[in-house]
Amino acid sequence: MEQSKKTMKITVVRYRPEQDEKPWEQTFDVPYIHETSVLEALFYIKDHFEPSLSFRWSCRMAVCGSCGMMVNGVPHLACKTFLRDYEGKSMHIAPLDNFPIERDLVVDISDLIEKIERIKPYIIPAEKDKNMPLTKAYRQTPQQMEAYRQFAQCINCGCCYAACPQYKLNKEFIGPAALTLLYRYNIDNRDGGKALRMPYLNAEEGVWSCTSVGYCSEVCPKHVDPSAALLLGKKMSATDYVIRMFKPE
Amino acid sequence: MSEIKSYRKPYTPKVEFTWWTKVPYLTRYMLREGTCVMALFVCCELLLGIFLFAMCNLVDNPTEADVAPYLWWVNSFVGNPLVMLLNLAALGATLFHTVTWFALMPKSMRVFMNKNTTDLVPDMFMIGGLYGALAGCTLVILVVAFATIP
Repeated sequence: MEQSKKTMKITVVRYRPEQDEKPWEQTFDVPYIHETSVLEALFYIKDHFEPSLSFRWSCRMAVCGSCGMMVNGVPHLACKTFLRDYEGKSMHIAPLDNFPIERDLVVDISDLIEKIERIKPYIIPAEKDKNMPLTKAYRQTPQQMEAYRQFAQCINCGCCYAACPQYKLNKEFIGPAALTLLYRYNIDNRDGGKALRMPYLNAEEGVWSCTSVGYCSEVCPKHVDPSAALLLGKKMSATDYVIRMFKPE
Repeated sequence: MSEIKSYRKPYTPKVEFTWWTKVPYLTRYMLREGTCVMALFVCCELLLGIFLFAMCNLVDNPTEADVAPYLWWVNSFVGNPLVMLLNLAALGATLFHTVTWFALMPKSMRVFMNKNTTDLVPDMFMIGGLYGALAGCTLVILVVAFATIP
């Protein structure tokens, strides 16, 4: 069956560092069908109107986390957002909030990457497992996995940082995704690196800079619920503080 | 070093003072945080009452003149229609804050149903428990308040 083609007015924020002083807007009429995603609409604009339009993408299926951008002021993955849900409205596409704009819809997320690296997002063997042979596997019950599974779904798209007003006001804040990963590794029963990560969790720019706004969980395309991880992180940090009062290193 | 000239010029937009008005979710958040102003008002009101009570001449059979400051607080301050309205607004604000606060509880308490399952205790249990505790505390306070009326 031939699907009738509709069109939508899509305004895209442009910024070309070699010639623009500040970002500006360009509007296009983009035809779409039921299945057209925002990412495909951007492909259409690039193919038919503006070959110089820059944006990041890779997997097209909400796995790689490259195409985070602001759609009508809300952080979304372009590949997981569909024009049909904006029917009758116009669409405004802007680069992710709270990151420096590099070109058009491309932002510089190196701050996010540095913070994720900083909190040691990998399993650090405990002292007793130090010499465990590589052929031997760690044992983990389904419940032990369920405790962190949801927090391990993060694809580092940066949508939560674009949503976070605390990160907007204070770039020192380690932020939702990195702190969620920190908590995820701290509660993994295979991990022994909790003591190395606690200073980052306890710090001023750690979990206590979060005021439980909750917008990060609202916009997260993978339903990681970072604000829940940060609340649990606050509990972990407070418990750690009390324990250290009675048992100094 | 590369011989190629870099055109990099990252643009950092200014943070506007009105950032919280752009998204309804953030407006609601600021409203939630704003309820602390009403809580501050109630605290000051109660503190004033305690100070005025301490200023009274507390003898065994006090006359009205002995407890005049406290009576002024009860009749003229708390009895003032404007203060009454503010107190009602404070109650509304506190209840709004309570609802949002209770809704966060299941996020900060991830408890499994038993030792072997991967099922968490349903959110409704925890939120319901909090509302139950709220109702219980309110009941105790009301019972004590009415029981101590001479």
